[in-house]
Amino acid sequence: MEETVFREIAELARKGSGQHIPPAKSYLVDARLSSILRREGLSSIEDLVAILTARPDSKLSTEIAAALTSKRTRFFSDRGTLERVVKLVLPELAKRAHDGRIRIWCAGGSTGQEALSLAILIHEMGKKAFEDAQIEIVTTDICERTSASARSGIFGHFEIQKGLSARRMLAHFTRLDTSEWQVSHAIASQIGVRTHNLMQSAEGLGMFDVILCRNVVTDMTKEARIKALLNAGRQLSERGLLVLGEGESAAGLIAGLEPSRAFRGGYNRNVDARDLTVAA
Amino acid sequence: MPDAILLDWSMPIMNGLDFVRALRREHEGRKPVVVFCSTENDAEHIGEALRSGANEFIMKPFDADIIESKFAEVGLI
Repeated sequence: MEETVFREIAELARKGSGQHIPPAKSYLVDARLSSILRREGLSSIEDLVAILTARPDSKLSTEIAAALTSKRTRFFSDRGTLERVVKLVLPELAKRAHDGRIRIWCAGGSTGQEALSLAILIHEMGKKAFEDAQIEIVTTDICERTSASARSGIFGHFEIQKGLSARRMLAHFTRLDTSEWQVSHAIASQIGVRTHNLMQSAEGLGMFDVILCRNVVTDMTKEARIKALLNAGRQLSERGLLVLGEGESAAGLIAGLEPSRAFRGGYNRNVDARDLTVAA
Repeated sequence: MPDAILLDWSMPIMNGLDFVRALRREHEGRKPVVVFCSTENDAEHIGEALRSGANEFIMKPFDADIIESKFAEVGLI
């Protein structure tokens, strides 16, 4: 790929999703845009950039930026964190849930495995463990196609085997004639799927008691990480918990988020949601 | 006795299902870990393998990520 073409694509990704694609990872561009190239009948990234230059198309640009983000995920990724959320955090939140509701947001949730893993753990613990609270999980991804895949609740032969035990697969999924596996209604009904770009306000999603934003901001520019964490932090309810991925931190980026004393890798808001700001 | 056995369903003389049943009869407790690995990957076969004493089931074909994931599931890594 020509350097100028790569720069165009990298800039489009930076503007659209805040993602930083270094030249050393230019190979990702070919892999992640291949389906768009096929659909548009194009043979190269150069052709795609030529089309965007000649006929700026914000819908196509948005789609390209979304397609360039990582979709890597698996069931029960960092299982210990998910188990701590469900076994320790949710029962405590349930005791204080005045309206009997707990809301969880899986931000950048790709094809839904993180949300499904939470829903499976919650289902297995039973309603009594959460004071019969109504637990709603919302999973979002920037990419329409990825969201559609999450919404289907259908997983292929390889995806279903990554992180999910055979016992849980049989308990919560049904094998289709296509050899794919579909999640049960009992699990799927706990989850709502939305398409959302973390670079934009998440006000429309409402407030959440737990926000999981794990391994999402790692590939972003510093400016984009701040924007994403601000947008997420502003949807955190009072006493809510924001959980980032291993090696990710809000320290030095956001004023008003402090490391949780009770949950390693988590953050609580110590100012009003509207007063969260960029750290000095 | 090995720590783990990766077991196919279809084998000459004795199939995997009979093998795991015999193994569990002769060696009480859960060791060794038995992971089935088979193209017989419909829900009935998988359920039967687990009920017979297998700890995990890998559906063929598989890749390195799946092997790692399943081995982690049964505490081998």
